[in-house]
Amino acid sequence: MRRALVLALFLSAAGCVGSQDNPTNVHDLRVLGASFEPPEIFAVSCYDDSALAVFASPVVMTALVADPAGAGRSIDYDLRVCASQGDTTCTGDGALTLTRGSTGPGELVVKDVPASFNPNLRLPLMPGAQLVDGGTPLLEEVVEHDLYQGLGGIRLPAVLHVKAGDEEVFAKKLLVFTCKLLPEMTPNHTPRLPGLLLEGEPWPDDALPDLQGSGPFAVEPEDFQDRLEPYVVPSYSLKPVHLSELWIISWRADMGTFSEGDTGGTGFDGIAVAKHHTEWTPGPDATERDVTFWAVVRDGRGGESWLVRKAHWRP
Amino acid sequence: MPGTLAFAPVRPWFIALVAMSSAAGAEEVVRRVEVDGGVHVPVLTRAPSLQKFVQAAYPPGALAEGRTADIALAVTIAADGSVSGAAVKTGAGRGFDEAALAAVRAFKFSPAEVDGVPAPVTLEYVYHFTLAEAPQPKVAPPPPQATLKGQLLARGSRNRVPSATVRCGDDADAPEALSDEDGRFLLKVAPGVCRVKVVANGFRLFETSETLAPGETTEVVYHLLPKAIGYETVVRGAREKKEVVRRTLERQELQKIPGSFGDPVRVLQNFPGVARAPFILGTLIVRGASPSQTLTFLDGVKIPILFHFGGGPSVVNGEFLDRIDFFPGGFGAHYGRAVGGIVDVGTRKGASDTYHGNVKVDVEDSSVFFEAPVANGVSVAVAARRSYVDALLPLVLPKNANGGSLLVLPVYWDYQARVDVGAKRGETKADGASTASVMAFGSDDIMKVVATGAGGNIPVSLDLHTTFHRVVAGWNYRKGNVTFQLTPYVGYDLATINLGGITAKLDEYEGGLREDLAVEVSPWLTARAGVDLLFDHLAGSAEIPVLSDTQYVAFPGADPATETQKISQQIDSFDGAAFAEVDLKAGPVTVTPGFRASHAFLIGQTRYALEPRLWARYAVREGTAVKGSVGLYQQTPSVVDLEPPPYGNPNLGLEKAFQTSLGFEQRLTDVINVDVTGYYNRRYENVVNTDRTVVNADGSQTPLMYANDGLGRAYGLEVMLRHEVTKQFFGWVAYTLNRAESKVAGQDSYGLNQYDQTHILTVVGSYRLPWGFEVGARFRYATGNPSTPLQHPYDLFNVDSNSFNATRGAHYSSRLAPFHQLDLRIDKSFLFQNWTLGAYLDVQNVYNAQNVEATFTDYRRRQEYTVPGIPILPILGVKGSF
Repeated sequence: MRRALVLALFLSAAGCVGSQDNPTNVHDLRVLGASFEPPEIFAVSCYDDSALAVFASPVVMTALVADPAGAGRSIDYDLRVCASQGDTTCTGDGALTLTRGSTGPGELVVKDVPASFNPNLRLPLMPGAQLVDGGTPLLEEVVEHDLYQGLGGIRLPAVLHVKAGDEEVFAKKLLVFTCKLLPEMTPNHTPRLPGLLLEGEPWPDDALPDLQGSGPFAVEPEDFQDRLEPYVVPSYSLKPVHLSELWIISWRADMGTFSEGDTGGTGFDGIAVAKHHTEWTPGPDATERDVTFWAVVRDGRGGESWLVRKAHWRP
Repeated sequence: MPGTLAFAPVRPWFIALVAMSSAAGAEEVVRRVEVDGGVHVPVLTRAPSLQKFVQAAYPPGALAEGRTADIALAVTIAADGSVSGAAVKTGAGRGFDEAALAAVRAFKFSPAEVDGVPAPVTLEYVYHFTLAEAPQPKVAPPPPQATLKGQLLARGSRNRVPSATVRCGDDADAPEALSDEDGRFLLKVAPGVCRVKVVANGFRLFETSETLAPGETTEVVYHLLPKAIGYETVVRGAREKKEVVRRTLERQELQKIPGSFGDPVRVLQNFPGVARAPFILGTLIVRGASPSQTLTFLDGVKIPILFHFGGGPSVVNGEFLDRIDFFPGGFGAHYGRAVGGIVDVGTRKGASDTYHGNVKVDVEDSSVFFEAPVANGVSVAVAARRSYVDALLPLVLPKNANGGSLLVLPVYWDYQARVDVGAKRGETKADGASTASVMAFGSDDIMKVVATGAGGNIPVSLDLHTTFHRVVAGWNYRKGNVTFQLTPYVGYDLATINLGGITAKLDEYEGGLREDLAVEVSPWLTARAGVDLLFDHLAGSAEIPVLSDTQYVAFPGADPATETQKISQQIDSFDGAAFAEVDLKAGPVTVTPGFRASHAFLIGQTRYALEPRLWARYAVREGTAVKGSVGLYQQTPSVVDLEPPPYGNPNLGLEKAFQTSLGFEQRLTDVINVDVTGYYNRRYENVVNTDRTVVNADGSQTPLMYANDGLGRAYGLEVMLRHEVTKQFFGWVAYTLNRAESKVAGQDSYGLNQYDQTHILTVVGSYRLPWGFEVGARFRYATGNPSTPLQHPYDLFNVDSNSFNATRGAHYSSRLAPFHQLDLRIDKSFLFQNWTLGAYLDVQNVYNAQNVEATFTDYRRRQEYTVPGIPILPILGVKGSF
């Protein structure tokens, strides 16, 4: 009993001494998501130079930047790549800055970068074609730094650095380069939610539904089970491991909080499948206003996209 | 009246073993020198008896004046029964003191025995000088006599009271009798009213009146009131010391330490060299070693856990404890398979006088203990405990505001049973005779956690079950200077886990044999040798999902659906060891070289270990000794770690440690001593987790999971200043100056390890008050555990795993706040005729110190928050014993 009492006291204490900053409430500069299109550079052969050509394909990077308190201020950004996954800011040896500029809150799309020999010339964004140290392919450096030497795919760290005022965020995203080690392997596709439901009703992106009262208000995605992809990865012994995507949706809003910040995925046993259901509550200090909601979906293998919705809330 | 003067016969007025004297100079005279640093409660197994009486010369002057006197003497009896010292406690002058001293010094006793070994003791002897009446010219026929027959029992416990004097009247020559070992006496007296007086050491004077009829026998039972309720250990004997540090505590000390909840095993955490465990966990962190490197034994047999749920009550009932040996390092060749410390909990035989027992009830669990002699030389002791916290926990768990349910159901039970054949407790077996015992014990822990609802999208269910059983037999044989001990044992361990859809089960069967032979070749040479064999069969099975990063390279944040797989594994292992050591004594110097060699078969592979060890001790003078040790220690990796990849690494070698220590011990007063020991331990080739992989020729990879890459060292100083148990007080000050460091092979320098606590101070004291009250206090101070400071120059967001990384400073370059806490305890005993009710109030963290046990951060890793330790926590316990 004494230990039970201790446990109870501990649980109570731990619940009240922590931060009041809820991750589902976006109130300052945040990078909520980032994606590459395509999400995976997939070569059908691992054993000839055609893979290198495929890996040099252009990609488009899109980031979801939120800055509710910034009042539309300008946000400086730069995009970097580096060889080591442990380099969380891509500022170490061999890191490359591909582009920089200014943007506002919302979606930041990077399709091209200035040519190194002529800043006025824009080239497609081709992270897989970058060279370091006088000609060594960056991807080769990535493999060198990789504990598994590319067995899980060559995972190129790309860091989007955003800064506004005294707020600064380094957002690291891995761009995956894979070759077809096993016949069952197929390239990944970007996960896309078909839509959202608010209180059980469709919630189009151009709608501004009225929400009144203290809630909670139920939010969930429209059914997307048919979009989940099965896929195969190699085991350490190069045997196929059959997996299936279980998307995780991160729910965010610039006012109030969600009861579940992340839905989907598996339970902590790695087997049970979690539901996608959450509830938004405006909070005790809310005032009447338009509220922005974000639902960022991840497929667990590098693919990512998001939906943005708005609603008008009043007490 | 004038007449012939003659000496009255001098009777053994009472022979009583005296308790240890207090510093304040209580009535006790001499106690044995504590040379035994280990946890052992010595027991007087045979009382001395007077074999040769020498009549004192009556002082002529006193004789002429017709004076009588009673001279109380403190008589020290050497191990051979001779009188090695005598001193007058209560004298009368006029030549009586000198005459009594001269006579007593010529007495010869049968040797006293402590723990079955002849040992010096001190007793109180009262020499009566009385004047006999002059012979009457006509002797009248003796009147018919009455008989008073009875038994003396201790009030509250019904313990038999031996060596007590029962008298009828106050006259110096009043008839009297001495109670035997069973507390029985027989007194022949004149009929009429007898004013009975019973005098027994450790008991208050008992007085009553009996009317005795001529020619008749009156049978009585007298319950004597102990002077100190619950006081158990009355004599300490010399127990030869071998190891440099082996901590000893009295039974009294074991059970009354504040903050230990009355659990004797928990007292270990108050020793020097043991780092403070967080919250109230029972983890033993000894000299910087990881908890898994300190092994726990019960009656010499390794047990998987010492405490229920890691921090609950110990798995053996405290009433069963005979001793606890704690070796923080430098232990003898008798022990092996450990590179840290050793804890060996010894159980005791059942009662030899009559049945005893107790029932303990508190809000967490209930336990019973019962012991009794069942036949001549056969005794039985049993104990059992069962928790019911599972029924009460829901009442105190915080309610979920979202309406969800959280069900936490911890259940535990344990049992012990022991049968002894041969010598009774407190009796020494005859030369050439055998004793045997069988001890069975076990423990079971079940933890169920079910969380549903609360807006969550997935229920949580966890079902953990661990159990173990052991049966240990013992055969002891002693003939002459040869002692032989054989200890076969078998055991079964079970561990199951059901976590949602995951199931795993581990059955482990083990059998072993220990053999110990000791030969006292000569006064300067004692040899010991033995074997230690252990066979283990482990059968594991599991149904689990494909394990990311264990079986394939996972993507950050990946949470895919996978197939489940069934895994089963059978592992056999055998570890056979032989050991030998000799004690070589040359005057004040004792040197003990020892050696242990083992040969292990582990999953078809072999491992060898050769472990030389050496101890030395130099008794500079009475009460002062210098001591030191050096040795090599090795520990077999867990068989689970030796599994084939990807779950383990079958190429793991033995963990190793080189341990050294040097120190001295000094007796400051009769009851206060100090022990100072410095140590330096280097651990190497320790098993650590690794993320290394081996790329094979075909391009496949082999993850290693574990490797012998761990390096560690610990050095420091341990100080134990101790006031031993007296009638009113016991306590100690334990201080450890410690440095525990580690690194991984290939790194340039050592850094602090997670167990480092530079200063560890524990002050313990307990004082006995009148009316059955006892108050105790424990104060602890410990340097905060190493921590790595959080810095936040910017947010580091990992887009793929949707989490933030922390920016931190140099590894373990800061510390948590120091820990300090005061615990108080008050005990009260209520003594009834045949049983005793004991109650205690144990208040942890009396001044509600806001200690920091851990830290956590907000989700963006911007700020650090502290997890507080336990607040002020009063615990009430009640125990009835008979």
